[in-house]
Amino acid sequence: MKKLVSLLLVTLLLASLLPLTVMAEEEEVITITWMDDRTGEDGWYQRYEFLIKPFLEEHPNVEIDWQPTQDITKQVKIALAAGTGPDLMSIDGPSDALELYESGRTVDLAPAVEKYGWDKVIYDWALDVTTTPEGVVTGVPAQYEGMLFYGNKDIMDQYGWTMPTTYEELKTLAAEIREAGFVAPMILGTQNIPRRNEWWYSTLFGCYAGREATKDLLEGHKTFFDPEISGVFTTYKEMWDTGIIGNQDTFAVTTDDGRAMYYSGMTVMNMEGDWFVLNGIENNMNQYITLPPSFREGVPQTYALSVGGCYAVNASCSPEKQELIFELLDILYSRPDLYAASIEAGAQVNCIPLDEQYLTGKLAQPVLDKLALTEKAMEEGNVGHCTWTFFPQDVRVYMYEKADAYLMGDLALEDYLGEMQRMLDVHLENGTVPPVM
Amino acid sequence: MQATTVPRPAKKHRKWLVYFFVLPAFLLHFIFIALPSLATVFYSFFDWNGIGQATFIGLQNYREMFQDADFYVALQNNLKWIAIFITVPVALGLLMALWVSRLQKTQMFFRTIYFLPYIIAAAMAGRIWCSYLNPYFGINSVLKSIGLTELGKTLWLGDKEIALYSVAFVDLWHFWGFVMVMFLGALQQVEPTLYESAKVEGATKLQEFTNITIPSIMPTLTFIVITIIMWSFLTFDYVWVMTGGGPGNASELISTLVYRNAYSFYRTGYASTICVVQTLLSVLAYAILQVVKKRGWDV
Amino acid sequence: MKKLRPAAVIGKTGKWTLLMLLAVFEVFPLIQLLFNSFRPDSEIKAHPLGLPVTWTLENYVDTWEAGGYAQAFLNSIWICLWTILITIVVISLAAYALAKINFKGREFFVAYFLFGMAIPSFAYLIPTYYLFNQMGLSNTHLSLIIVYSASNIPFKLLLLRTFLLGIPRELEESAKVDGCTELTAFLRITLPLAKSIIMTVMLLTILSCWNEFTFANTFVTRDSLRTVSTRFVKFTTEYNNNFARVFTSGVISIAPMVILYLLMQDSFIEGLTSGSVKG
Repeated sequence: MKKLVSLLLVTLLLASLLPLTVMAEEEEVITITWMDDRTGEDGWYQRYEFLIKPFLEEHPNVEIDWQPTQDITKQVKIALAAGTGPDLMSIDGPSDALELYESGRTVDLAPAVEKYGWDKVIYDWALDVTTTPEGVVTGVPAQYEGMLFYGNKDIMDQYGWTMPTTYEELKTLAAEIREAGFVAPMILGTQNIPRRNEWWYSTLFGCYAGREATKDLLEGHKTFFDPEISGVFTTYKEMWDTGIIGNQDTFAVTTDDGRAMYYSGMTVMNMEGDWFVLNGIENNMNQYITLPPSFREGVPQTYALSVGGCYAVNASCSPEKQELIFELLDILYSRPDLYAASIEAGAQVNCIPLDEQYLTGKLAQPVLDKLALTEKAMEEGNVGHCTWTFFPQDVRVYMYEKADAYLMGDLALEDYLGEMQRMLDVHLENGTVPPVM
Repeated sequence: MQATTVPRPAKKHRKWLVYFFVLPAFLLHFIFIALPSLATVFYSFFDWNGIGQATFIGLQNYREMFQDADFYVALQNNLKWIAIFITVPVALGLLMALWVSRLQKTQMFFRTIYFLPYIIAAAMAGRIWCSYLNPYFGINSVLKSIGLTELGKTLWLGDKEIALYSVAFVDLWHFWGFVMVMFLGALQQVEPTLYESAKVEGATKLQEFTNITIPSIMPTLTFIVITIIMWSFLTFDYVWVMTGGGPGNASELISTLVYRNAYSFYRTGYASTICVVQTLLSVLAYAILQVVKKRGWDV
Repeated sequence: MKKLRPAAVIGKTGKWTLLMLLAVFEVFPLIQLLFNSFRPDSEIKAHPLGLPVTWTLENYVDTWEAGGYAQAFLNSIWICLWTILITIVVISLAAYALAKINFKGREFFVAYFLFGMAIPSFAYLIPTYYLFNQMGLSNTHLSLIIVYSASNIPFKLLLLRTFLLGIPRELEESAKVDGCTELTAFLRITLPLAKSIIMTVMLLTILSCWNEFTFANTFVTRDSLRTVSTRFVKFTTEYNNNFARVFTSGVISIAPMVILYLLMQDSFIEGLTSGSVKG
């Protein structure tokens, strides 16, 4: 009796709140929910103007519920695990796409790729990494990212410094910068975000290990203990120990503060992904933008590339809804004019060629420079592997999570390498290493 | 708990009505918090990445946890954290509450100022403090400019020996005002007549404090200590914002370890195991307190 | 005038110095935060800490427009209001019973709520989310109101109970002799006496709702339903390159709480002075 009455009470309490809930959408309108990693007004403008608006013009009965979401991988996973989740989702990269597909939450996009001919526009290397050996496309590649070196042009010109093309030059330059009284040559702050370490690791896999050695590692022909690979880690520690990247204080500087130090001229150089080109423009920086130096003889300056995001479709969508989502995505790949316009509006560069005839000249010079760098590196084949796209998930997470401990000397190199090798071996055995380009 | 002796209600047959007072709160919490939390106990026996196929592995996660060096580091840090937080804010909060409660015109000013940091979200306050503790433009530049060059080289958040204490310091900045306000509330409830008669009897200030103030605020004091111990096992925000548990795992707490396993390593099963143990630990801490109290040692 | 001994003078000076120093220490970072919202971005980047050289209001204009705060404020206020209402009603009833009435199961309930305080939010984040989806409550403010009310219960209930223990039972007993039921005794006698602590509990509840991020970010994904705290974090990641805006959005997000707190101070003091336990 008591329980019944109390239950009734709670029910009443809840019922009184019912008008608060948002009522179901009107009938006949199909709503596509899209959880997107672009957030903020700029993101909305880029998405709406060049993608959603043209789509809605053709499909007046469709509504797009755009859900800009921070920390998207985590949120998508939580939502899917709780039995809901968006219809269309932009996720961080191929490894997440694979995980979601394997858990049965997202659909195979291979039929859509074939039907709409996206494979003809999307770069092969990018589509390959989201395709399983069985030919399942787990996600459609969105933007790509790569690691670059930046220099404060005003300072460097004043002192007559040039961007380093080799590790030796970097060391000499670093010494000169220190002598000139700057706080440090460059600082990538990793305080509270150990993940930042993988920016350096990706750079070094490209420019120290080199494309071929990295490929051998991921295909099982080399191990972490081979000097080409272990040198990635010893070089990173050497740069940390000798103060090329800060004064052994990278854990005490946030990425934001590290950037601020670069903007304000306390440091002279920076190493970050190509997204930083836009940061530079926003902060009126006069920058040199180059590929990172070659860190080992015989390894060229390499552009470590990654698929920075991809689109996945919820398996719970009806075939009709899936078809609508594909039509929406197709605008990204079949309308070079809209794509060019979105780039000029500040959107990210997708894994597709940019047709220059549609550019209206609004693109800033640094962006054009970056595009030229990319094109050249791709032509010459000097492209490397960013860890977050090409390495198995647990290997890369362990690599960056334990970087602090390794740099501080709490974790011995052999143990560090050994654990990564152990994890990689499992993936090699199971065939779960992402496809290597 | 210091239960007051309660006389029996006069009308016995309507005694069950009291459950109407308690059950709404109980049911709301039980249905939406306690019951769902059982799912986490369930997950703790599985190898699960949070989304895919889960494999039942029995007690393996627990076995792994007890061999996990990171867990012991986190546990140790948590114990240090408790030691700091049941002493510093309680002592400081009580002392300042005693002082502030005797102020007339300025009381409102001080209680407002001291409580203010508690209002600010950790995401914002942590950011400002990170700038203060930055090696290049924070307090270090001040220290260097007044000649304390060596001290000015301290990496407050980057040195594995110091990072935990630096974060605890900032969390104290944020937290102690809350404790003070709680004590202020308790002090207001102390019968003024008690002090008056003590004065008549010629008691010293110290006697007044130990014989009247402390016994009168005992329920609040006990409650605050228990709360701090339980919250210390759950504490997360400032550590996550300021160091993320780093450098290495120097400032790792159990809650950051749970988060790291769940959302960095995507080992939801294992994270659930640590989470279950985390809950048990704070329940255990409470149980120990109760036993200690029953043995006659007043907490 | 009373003549003070030298030791007392030193003691008094020391006390005031400490009081003031602590006040400065507490408030300094907050003033820096406020200052930074009036400084141009380039200035903050050059010197993250310091006084504004050039004062600007532009940050506020930009941030307000770009952050979409207007809707978020309404959402947060709405959620806070309901949460406070539910929390205060259920916990004050329960706290009264657990503090004042002897009944079977009392010890159990006290222990249960203490246990409730020990449950980390990680433990129920996903299961509760699942539950709400099953109930058709995904993407509603109601889901947040329920989970906020529920998770606020244990600590606030026990806090209130601790303070109610300090109010003599005789007051309610005598009211009951005068013909009050337990409920009316509670409403007429206890509640007015506990006004200041209830205000404190309300304030703590509002704070926890307003600043809560994890649940707000998970349960509500539709942009128009987002709360201030999610807006703030989203905004700061989107504009992490513009420090001035980050600080400004911080000020905007916490300003209502600070203002509310300052306004409520009055009733705190009032409640404390008039709420003498003598009745």
